[in-house]
Amino acid sequence: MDPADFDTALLDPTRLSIVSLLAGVEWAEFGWVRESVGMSPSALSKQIGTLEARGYVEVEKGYVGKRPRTWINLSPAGRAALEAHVTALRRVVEEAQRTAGQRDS
Amino acid sequence: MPDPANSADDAARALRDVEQRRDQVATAQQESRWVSAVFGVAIFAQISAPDFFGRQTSATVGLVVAALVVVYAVLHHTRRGSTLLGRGGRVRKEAYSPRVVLWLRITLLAMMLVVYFAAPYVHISGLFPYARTAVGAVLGGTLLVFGRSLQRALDSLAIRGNGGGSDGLDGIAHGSR
Repeated sequence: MDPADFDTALLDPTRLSIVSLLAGVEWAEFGWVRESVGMSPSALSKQIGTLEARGYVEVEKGYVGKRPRTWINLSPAGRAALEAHVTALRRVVEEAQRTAGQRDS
Repeated sequence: MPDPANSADDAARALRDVEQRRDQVATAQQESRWVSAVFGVAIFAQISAPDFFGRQTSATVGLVVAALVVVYAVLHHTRRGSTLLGRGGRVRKEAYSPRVVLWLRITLLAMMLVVYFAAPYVHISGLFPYARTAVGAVLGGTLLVFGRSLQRALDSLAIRGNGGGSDGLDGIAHGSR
């Protein structure tokens, strides 16, 4: 397995969780993402910042009433990176299963 | 940091996590309880109004309820509006099963047609005094109490029913269990 097939940003389980969660939504509110992945606001902000710097997520800030809100969505680049990463993960698992099968037979 | 490139177990674990996150998406649609309360009260008002204010009020209350539905639909389509409704996000259309969504729409349409055609033959008011109020209280109360659970169940059904989608991430945990 070529390590180059993996996305280095998504090798971090926390970032993989965030991106996987965002893959199913058009956009999500920061609070919902935080609750879903079980992180503190500061830790999530840091990870979102890393993903934003790589162009994987887009962040929009605004107000609802007087309360500040942040909305996040996965960019096309983020979706492509996740798909490639998941494909690479699948390949590792399938190769391991194939090897185990050959060993058994 | 676990490195899936070095371990099939780590890769399988990562795939399972990706799938679990996908299952969590349905919770993004969950709205605040006040939304169910407003619609519960609206249904109660719509059905029971003639008992208190006469039949002529039905049309007026109906217009108010229709306006409420329009406002809800508009809010539902914007980020700020959805946040106001208590939603955590908006699920991608591709995440829904077209087959389940079609069946839900057919069921809803069938129910509306049954109510529309049966209404002239069912005289609730004649059953007992304030019968419309009782029916309105039951339907409104049901929506208020079970509205969120019903919404959650339907969302889960429509999203989990999506065995094949178009985002290239289907069956992500294939071979990982």
